[in-house]
Amino acid sequence: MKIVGVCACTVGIAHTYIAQEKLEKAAEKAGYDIHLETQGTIGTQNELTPEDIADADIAILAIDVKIKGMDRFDKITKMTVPTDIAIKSPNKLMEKAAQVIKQRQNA
Amino acid sequence: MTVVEEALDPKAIVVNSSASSKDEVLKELIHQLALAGKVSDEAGFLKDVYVRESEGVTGIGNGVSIPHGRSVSVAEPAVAIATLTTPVEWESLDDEKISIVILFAVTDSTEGAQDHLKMLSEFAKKLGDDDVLDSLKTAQSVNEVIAAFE
Repeated sequence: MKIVGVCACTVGIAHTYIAQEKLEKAAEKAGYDIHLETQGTIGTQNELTPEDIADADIAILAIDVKIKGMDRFDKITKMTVPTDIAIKSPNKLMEKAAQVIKQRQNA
Repeated sequence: MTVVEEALDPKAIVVNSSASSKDEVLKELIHQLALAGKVSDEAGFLKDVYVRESEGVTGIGNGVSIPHGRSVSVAEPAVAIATLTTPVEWESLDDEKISIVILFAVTDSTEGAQDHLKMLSEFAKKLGDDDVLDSLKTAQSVNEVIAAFE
């Protein structure tokens, strides 16, 4: 499974990056590929290319604020959650993502 | 210098603080940041930290909280850390009391502060690693606190 996503919190200094690390760790544990872009005070890092998004099975948007380039995810299955959820329950989020993809494949 | 050495001024690390409330520990850490020359106005920064507190929970679970404020009272982006002898009440994602407080001081303007802010973000990322938090909880000296992040 290939996951892309964006992390962005209100101040853009702490939650954004903690959420990124938590999700990366959880994805690694579950054996998934993950590429997360961060949009914080220092700007956009680890930016997703259109190819990254086109190749992904699902997008996880862990965001508390409006993000730049939201329209990039128009054509992909996505889950949007607050950064708090990504920090609190990253493993559950991975399970949920797998479920969502499975349901879509069966539909 | 490593990211950790750059982010953590030993003056801004308090091991086994006896602070008995959220307000006390915030004031203690802000005072240490002022001593380290990172905060110019303690009361002003405290006010801005509380503004962020009012916007959402800063306890990230597992007994750790990450209060932070963007403020004109911050001279240079920095981090302060306190480990507490007695956990204090603090709004958190898992409703647990807080025994580790990591305060981020952020300048109001990002101009000229990009490198420091990047350093803070790299530092924040480490807090997503449970191994780091576990080591932090058992740290009994300033050096052990710093070592927890390396």
